Amino acid sequence: MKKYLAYIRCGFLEGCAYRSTFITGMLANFIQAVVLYYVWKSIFTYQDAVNGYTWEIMKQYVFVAFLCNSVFSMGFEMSIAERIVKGDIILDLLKPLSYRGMLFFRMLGTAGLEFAATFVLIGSVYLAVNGLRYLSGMRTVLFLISLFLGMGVKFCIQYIFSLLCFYTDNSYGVTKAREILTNFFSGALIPLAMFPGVLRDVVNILPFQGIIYTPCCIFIGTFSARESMISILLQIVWIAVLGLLGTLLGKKAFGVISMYGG
Amino acid sequence: MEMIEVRNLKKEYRIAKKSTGMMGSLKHLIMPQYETLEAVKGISFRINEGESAAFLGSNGAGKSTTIKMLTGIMKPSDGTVRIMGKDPFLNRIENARRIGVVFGQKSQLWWDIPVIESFRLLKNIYGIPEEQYNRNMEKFGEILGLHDFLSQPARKLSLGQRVRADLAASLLHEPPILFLDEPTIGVDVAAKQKIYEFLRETNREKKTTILLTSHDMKDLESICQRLIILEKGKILFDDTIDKLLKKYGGEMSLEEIIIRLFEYDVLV
Ligand SMILES: Nc1ncnc2c1ncn2[C@@H]1O[C@H](COP(=O)(O)OP(=O)(O)OP(=O)(O)O)[C@@H](O)[C@H]1O
Ligand SMILES: [Mg+2]
Repeated sequence: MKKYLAYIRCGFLEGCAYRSTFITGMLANFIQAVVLYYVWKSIFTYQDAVNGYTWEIMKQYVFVAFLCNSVFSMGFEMSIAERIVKGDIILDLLKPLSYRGMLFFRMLGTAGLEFAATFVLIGSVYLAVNGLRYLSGMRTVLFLISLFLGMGVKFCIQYIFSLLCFYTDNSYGVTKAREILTNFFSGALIPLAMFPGVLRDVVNILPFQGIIYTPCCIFIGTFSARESMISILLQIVWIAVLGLLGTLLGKKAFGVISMYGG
Repeated sequence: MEMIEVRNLKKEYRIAKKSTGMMGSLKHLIMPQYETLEAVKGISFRINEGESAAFLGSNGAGKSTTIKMLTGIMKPSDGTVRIMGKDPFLNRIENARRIGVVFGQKSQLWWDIPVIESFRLLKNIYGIPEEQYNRNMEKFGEILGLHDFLSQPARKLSLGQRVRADLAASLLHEPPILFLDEPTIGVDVAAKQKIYEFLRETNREKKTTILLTSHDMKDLESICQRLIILEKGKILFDDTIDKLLKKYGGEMSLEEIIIRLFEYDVLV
């Protein structure tokens, strides 16, 4: 375990080395959140509620969803693809570690910085807009658990997509496809409750909701305590399923991969 | 004890058959065609504990390909590899603990963070005891002259400095087997001399098994007793350097024999 934890430190240091990209990236995201806030605001001036969502709820949702989306936001498919093409993946595989475990903790270190900064920034904006009145201690604890599990779900999905990069040269396409899927079906832009009938049912059987929608609803309180528990359980099930899928795919992918260079 | 055992090892690469130019690329996009390239064509050899062997062969002979299969990161197309009795590809993690690897062209150092952090990470990955870590850092620092740049990120090192740091990194956990693929690229003469001495000492005292490739005859002669000549994926010669000199040399030096070999494709 200690060997994996050591990767958090290096991931964190690496994140710090890229602080200028990281700051501009965060600013861009922040502007996006603010824009989204005003878009929803104008929608709700014409309508009191959309599928049960009121402006009261929405003005929390926008910021909480943004916070949830900011962990592992970059995705690592591109960087893995680059390491394959340059042959640097050789050096990762020469280490006595699980490749996936190494990736996870490294990302955790890098994401830690990003998350902490976003937490402070978005947290203050949230408080400025909503004040303290919606907060609940119990829900916050469940939220943090669910947020962490959501990270797990997101990581498993990203890992599977990064394995696809072993087979294709078009890692950019793979990354974009994954980004669109996760952004749309996780509830990053639109709360899933607002989706129309069939689409709502589809979304319910997909793993993406666990990334953002689940923790958000728990925090805001649109899920009852029972619903929250069930959703958290569902996240755990998805991590197990996607994790297994990643393991199976990995077994195949590492057998076909070409090691370039030398 | 047998540290490395290779039997009838083969590697075929699938390579895209593309004609040049835009039209060629387009055609490949629609109807991709592949052909196989046999990089290693069924080689066999064994290396015992404490031996130091060198791979020698012209560019594209299949040396790096073989090393990639021996280190367990690439699956052979056919044949078997045993490292200390086990299949390295199937037991990648266990195998990685027992080997040290340098690919001179690549670096395991983290590009953007200080070199010392890469070393600390290795200490944790391999669970190297504090005492051993300090002793080795002290020793390598001395021999390889690391002290000057340990606090620099790897991107700021010169080629030779980077290679020296990579060599130290691969030795930190004192592996019983060392795979060195062109470990002296860009290293200056004085530092090379120290590296030779150091590797010979490690080989002698710790009985570390070494398999090395290099295009510098000096490397081979200084570090290794045994020579495996690999050409076009096949082994042409496998014995001591002395034997090669006696058999083919006459008045020629190792370098001259090898130049002849590469030019005429046979040992004469
Ligand atoms: N990943 C790959 N995909 C396709 N072909 C490859 C790949 N790696 C190597 N080859 C081909 O396999 C052959 C052997 O390459 P290899 O890298 O093993 O040579 P080498 O003996 O290490 O040469 P050098 O002395 O130049 O380093 C070459 O013809 C090369 O073009
Ligand atoms: Mg090579």
